[in-house]
Amino acid sequence: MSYIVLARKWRPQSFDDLTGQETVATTFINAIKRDKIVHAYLFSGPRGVGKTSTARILSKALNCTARQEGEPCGKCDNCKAITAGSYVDVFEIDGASNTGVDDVRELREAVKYAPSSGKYKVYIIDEVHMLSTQAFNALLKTLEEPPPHVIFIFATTEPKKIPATILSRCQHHSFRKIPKEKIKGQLKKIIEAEGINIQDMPLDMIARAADGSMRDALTLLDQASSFSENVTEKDLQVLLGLPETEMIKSLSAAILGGDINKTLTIIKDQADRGYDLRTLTRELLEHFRNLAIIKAAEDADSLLDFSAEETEEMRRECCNVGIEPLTLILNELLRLDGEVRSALNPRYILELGLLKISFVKGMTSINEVLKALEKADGGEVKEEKPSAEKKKAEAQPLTIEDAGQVPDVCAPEAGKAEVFEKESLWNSLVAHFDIQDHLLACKLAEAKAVELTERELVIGFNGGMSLLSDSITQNARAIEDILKKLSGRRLRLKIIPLPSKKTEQAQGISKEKLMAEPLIQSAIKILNSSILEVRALEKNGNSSESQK
Amino acid sequence: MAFKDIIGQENALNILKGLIAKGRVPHALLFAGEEGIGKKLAAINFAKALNCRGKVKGIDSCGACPSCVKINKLLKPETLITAGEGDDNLKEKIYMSHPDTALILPYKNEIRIKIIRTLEEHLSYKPFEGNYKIAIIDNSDEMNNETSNAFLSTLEAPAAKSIIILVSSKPGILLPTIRSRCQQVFFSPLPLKKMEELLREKVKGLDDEKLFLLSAVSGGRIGYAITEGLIEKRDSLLEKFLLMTGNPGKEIWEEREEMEEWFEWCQLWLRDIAVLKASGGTGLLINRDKREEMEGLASGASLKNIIELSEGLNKIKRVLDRNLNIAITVNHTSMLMRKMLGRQNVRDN
Repeated sequence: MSYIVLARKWRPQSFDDLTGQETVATTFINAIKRDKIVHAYLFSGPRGVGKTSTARILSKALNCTARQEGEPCGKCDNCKAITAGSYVDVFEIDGASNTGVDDVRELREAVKYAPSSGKYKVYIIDEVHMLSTQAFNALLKTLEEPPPHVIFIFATTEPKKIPATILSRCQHHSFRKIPKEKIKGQLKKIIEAEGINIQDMPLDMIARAADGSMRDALTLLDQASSFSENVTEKDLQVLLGLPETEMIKSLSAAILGGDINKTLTIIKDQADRGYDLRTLTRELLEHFRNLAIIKAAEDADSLLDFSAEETEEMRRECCNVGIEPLTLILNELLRLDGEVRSALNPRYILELGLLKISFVKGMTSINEVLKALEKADGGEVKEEKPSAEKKKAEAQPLTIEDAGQVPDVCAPEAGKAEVFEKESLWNSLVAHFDIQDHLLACKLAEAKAVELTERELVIGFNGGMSLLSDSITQNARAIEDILKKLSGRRLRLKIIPLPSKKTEQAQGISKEKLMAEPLIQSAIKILNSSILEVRALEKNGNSSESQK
Repeated sequence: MAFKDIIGQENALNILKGLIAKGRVPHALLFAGEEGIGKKLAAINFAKALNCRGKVKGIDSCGACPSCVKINKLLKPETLITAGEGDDNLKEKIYMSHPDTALILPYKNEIRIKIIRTLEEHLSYKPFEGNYKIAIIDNSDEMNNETSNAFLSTLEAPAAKSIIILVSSKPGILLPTIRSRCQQVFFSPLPLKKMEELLREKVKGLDDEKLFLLSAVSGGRIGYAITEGLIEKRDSLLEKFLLMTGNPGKEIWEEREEMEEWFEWCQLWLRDIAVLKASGGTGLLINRDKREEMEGLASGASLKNIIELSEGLNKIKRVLDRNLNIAITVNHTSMLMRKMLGRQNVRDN
């Protein structure tokens, strides 16, 4: 006989055996005692929490000849036959293999006949969410008013896929994930009966890794027990493919400490030893999630499934970090987790992401900055910075000047020149070209008229658009001709790059210059910080700085 | 070929040997781990060990008995006649070189419900000449929704003496209900040292730097590392990377696939540049043989910009399949690279 896995061997056989579904069990025991059995049930819940088992127990309880207090006896012929799956009046149908309307028609035909040996005919349809819409609809009539001897039990992991018309005809029992402690309790019972040697700590790991599913827990226990005579924590890490907890801890310490070299060395080490970096990322994410919860919630102990010592250790680990940086790290790791999963080689993405995260270390939360500012001199609330115009003036006009094409001196045609505003001149130029050369007009529209003098019209492109200037220079002569027509003057076209919002504008203000500002100096003093980067604000031209 | 020939998977093999030794082989297993690290090879050898008739010392296969010889043919499935031959409705194929051992490969990236029905039938018979009926499903994450759901009941309680082995490099995609019915065995990427040894053996004429490069780039996946012309590919793609920081021209990528690949590889160089910047030393480099190029690229950029560029390129990579105009993509990417790597002053000519 081939080996029967624990999950099958230890399938619960009575309501009492059902771990973690006490509500459901009690409901059924009472219903059976009071004879309040309805004709259709729907069981929903995640994998491995006892849906199919409950369905079988219920069908046993209904057909048992020696029922005690609502529980099936497990000894009578009927009970035995149902357990073995050979009872004639209990039909277990795989909903995923019999999805069509024809299967349902067949079922409707069969439903009419009375049970041959028991009291009820029970139809258990597993994975019922896979039935087609037509199949569901064909079932509606029967489901509403079946013959009195028929009971339907549907089991599914995805109740959302069941049509509302079916849902409203069933008594819906939703099964919950089984709490970790209950899983552990049941595992203890089983290891005793099976004579499996396993310590408490690895048992805890199994219960946690099972994530609320008894079947997952038993599958793992099965594997662990055949892997080693005396199962230890290390064995389980191997089985689960998990990185060592120590490594995760030192990695998170390196990240929180902003130690780039150590972070990179740990990753290299893991890659060299052949650890799965995708799993590592997920575990790291999990770890930081735990840290964030500990930091944010007062009753973290009850939110996390950890022992008191472990929680205490994590609390120590993050005592020097604020919730803001933790949230930032967590956000970044979440993004990383997704990207690492689809990357060809997870290592590069992970390393680049961790480098990015290392910036978090240097940040000060906005609240702290504000508090510090409030404490500082009340008068110095406003931060004055060199204005954008000043910087514009500093920006060097670069490139693009077709000197050869334009005569040096262009005399304005006396008197007749209308005085154009630079903007309206530019706009009318663009409008003019819109008819002639739409493509060029689009490019021109991206530019801004900066200055209009007697002899030149200065226009500017901001950073990214500056590549358009090439094609405008090519058409400079045509443009200048039109300009002459429009303004009555000979104007030379000059193109300068406009300081872009972020970088170029900021280049204007050097760090030294900022350092010289008395306000900044005092801010640096108060915050015990240094200037990392100078950035320009978009609208009012004031600058802000990131601080360290 | 036997267990002892599978390299670098001690953990996984220990688990498998333990199962056989204790006679506790479960009816459903899931071999999970990166692509190209020997999962299928292990599955086939596991099948051999289970059905071997000339057992050496009880656990490993002998490799010489008729059963082993037959199952060994599954390593080259394309040479086999399949059970589904001639049946148009059965596009997926069940490969069988031994009456009790079947290998299923996806057809056009999909495993459809018909194949599972056929498989169920196969498993329902008693073993013909071996000890177990074994089914190996490669790339099992490619089972579609109907197939997965229909497979659940078989996977939970198949006929006696059946063993189903799912192989997947993306176990996360499998339904949780499937995963929870299988004992998962994790295969890890190969350690660097093992990779270098193995490569030295398999690919001749590589110097130490190249060996290191291949092992590091492949991330411990031997199957990928021995892809022909991997180093040449790196070289040509890196050339294009350097080209992109100047004036690339329109026709830089010959075809779409190359473009996608290029974006994938960019992360490697950006990673090297960033690591150079961050650690200040060359000890952690992967492209050791291209140290100068990397240093050159790193010189004008700040760490922050490199990371920003990496994210930018990743973003482009993700939308590549939305039919981007190639010329615009080239322009945009090149601009982004010039800006982030501090090269906006490099003039085109």
